[in-house]
Amino acid sequence: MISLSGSPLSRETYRIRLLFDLAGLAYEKFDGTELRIEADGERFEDAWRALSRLAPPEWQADGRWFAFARRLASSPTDTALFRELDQHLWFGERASAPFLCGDHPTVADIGCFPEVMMSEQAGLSRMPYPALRRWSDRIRRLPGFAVMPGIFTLPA
Amino acid sequence: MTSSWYPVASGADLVSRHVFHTALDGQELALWRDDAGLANVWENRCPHRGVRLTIGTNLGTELRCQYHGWRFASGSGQCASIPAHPGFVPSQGLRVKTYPCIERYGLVWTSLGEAEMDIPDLGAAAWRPLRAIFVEAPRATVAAQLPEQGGLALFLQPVSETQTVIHGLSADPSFSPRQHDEALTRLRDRIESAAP
Repeated sequence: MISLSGSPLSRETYRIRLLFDLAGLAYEKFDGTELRIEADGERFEDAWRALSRLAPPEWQADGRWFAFARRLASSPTDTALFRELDQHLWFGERASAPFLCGDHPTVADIGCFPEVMMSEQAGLSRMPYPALRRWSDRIRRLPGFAVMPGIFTLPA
Repeated sequence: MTSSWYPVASGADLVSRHVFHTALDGQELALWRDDAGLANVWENRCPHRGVRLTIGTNLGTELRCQYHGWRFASGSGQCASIPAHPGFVPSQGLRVKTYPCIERYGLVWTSLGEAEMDIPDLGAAAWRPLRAIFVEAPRATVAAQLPEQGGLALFLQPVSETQTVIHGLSADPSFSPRQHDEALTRLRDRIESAAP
């Protein structure tokens, strides 16, 4: 059994909730704004560790892009990271790799998503990153996609 | 008023059910392709409350504003329906401002005013669009540093007074898109690091 509490407005909580909802993992919600993740009696102090440990095999990411997502989370307005992401996704679109690690989404995509979607609140326009905007459409169309305030779903 | 044709996207940027976001001379644009393949270049502004249409949804034949769900028809930009008034037929004047749109050489071209010059004639070569490169520098600064290279055509889109997009077309099959991308990315970095 997995249980989760956390602020609905926190990027950390949203990342975990996205994994559970997209990968179809059942979980219990607890009241409280402090991020708290427990699975089968084990408490995860580190949300990133929870993300990689609780992800089913098909959601596992390669190390490079998982590490990239962690860098983006700690530097959410670093335009060099946005440029790297946009370039990678543009070439991916031409190589049947619409997601960060290939043809299907992984925790690397989930890891980057909250920072990308909240960049405009942080004063960073997404206009210069067209491949990143298309990628965010693809994420929002995934079955089970979970919204948070300010992030909308898209019809299939 | 910009009275020339400028590329503002590549045709491949306008994927199905997507709304592409760019700007030309400070005018924000929302570009979208309908399900029949027609590309639209619109002012990025809902005529109702001025909300950006790029946060709206491409429904295939209409674009729906995120704010109050008003829908605008592909081609004309005419308001087609208003959810809060189901039986109401919107007047002819209720429409998004549209701009002309021509797809040529794999790029999407538009003009904000009466264009005095035609789109450049590049002949019959098989031009392939490269990845557009966004540069944080004015158009004149970028223009002064563009390389001359056979089989490569570069066009500049003035986004704002301080931002420019380089649109590249390659007709040289021996050069990979990745090589061009690396060269243009280095050019961007040089221009930006030289900027005051």
